[in-house]
Amino acid sequence: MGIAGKGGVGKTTISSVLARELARRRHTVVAVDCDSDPHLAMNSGVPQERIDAMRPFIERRGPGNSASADSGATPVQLLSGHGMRGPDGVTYVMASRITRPGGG
Amino acid sequence: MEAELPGTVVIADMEAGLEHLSWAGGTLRYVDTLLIVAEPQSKVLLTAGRAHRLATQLGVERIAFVGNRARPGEEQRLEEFAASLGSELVAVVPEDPAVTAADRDGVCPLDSAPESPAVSAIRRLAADLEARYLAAAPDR
Repeated sequence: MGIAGKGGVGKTTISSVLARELARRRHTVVAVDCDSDPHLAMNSGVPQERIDAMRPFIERRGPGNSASADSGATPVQLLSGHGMRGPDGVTYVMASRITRPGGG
Repeated sequence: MEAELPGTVVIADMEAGLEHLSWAGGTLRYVDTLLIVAEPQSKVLLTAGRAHRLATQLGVERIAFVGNRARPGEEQRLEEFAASLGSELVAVVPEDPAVTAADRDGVCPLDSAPESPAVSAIRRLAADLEARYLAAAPDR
């Protein structure tokens, strides 16, 4: 299930509540933050130090230093390497996080 | 990812705008359900309409709109917008100061204001999506 729309319309708020409510309804839920400026985990109540420890699928730290993870890995492998368990048992993952500027 | 993780609900919070719906990126091709969040403002609806068209062209199976920050009387505008595209408005989340406060404080409104109007509307949406689209949750 994807959540899309114009910037600032509330995608992340809706995603965070939807994910946790479905988990409370006993579904296994994976919440994927596809924004390169990620906020989903924070909006879902994951503590900041645990967010800082998350490993995005792709970490962009500037020119020639784009650590792209695990091509060919299965979803289960990706989740075990990159997933973070949060409130209500939702597993959070980040697609990418840009931490330094550079000519992409 | 969902297809390879049976029984798991994957919720992808996309980047703003339309890039993920372009043919070049097209990452949303892989979702079975797309919820397009829309406020009643014309420019927001313009983006929402474009997203709907692109997702339709990508072949996304189920596309629906979720109205957000709707003030009293604005629901009808959102309903008419969805209907004009032959689509459905599956929820209307009202404007709610509890969500603004949660955003300011960096907390989840489900924790800070679980019974507030906006959070209640999103929780009802979860129940509705479950009833329509999801297999019953296994006992665990």
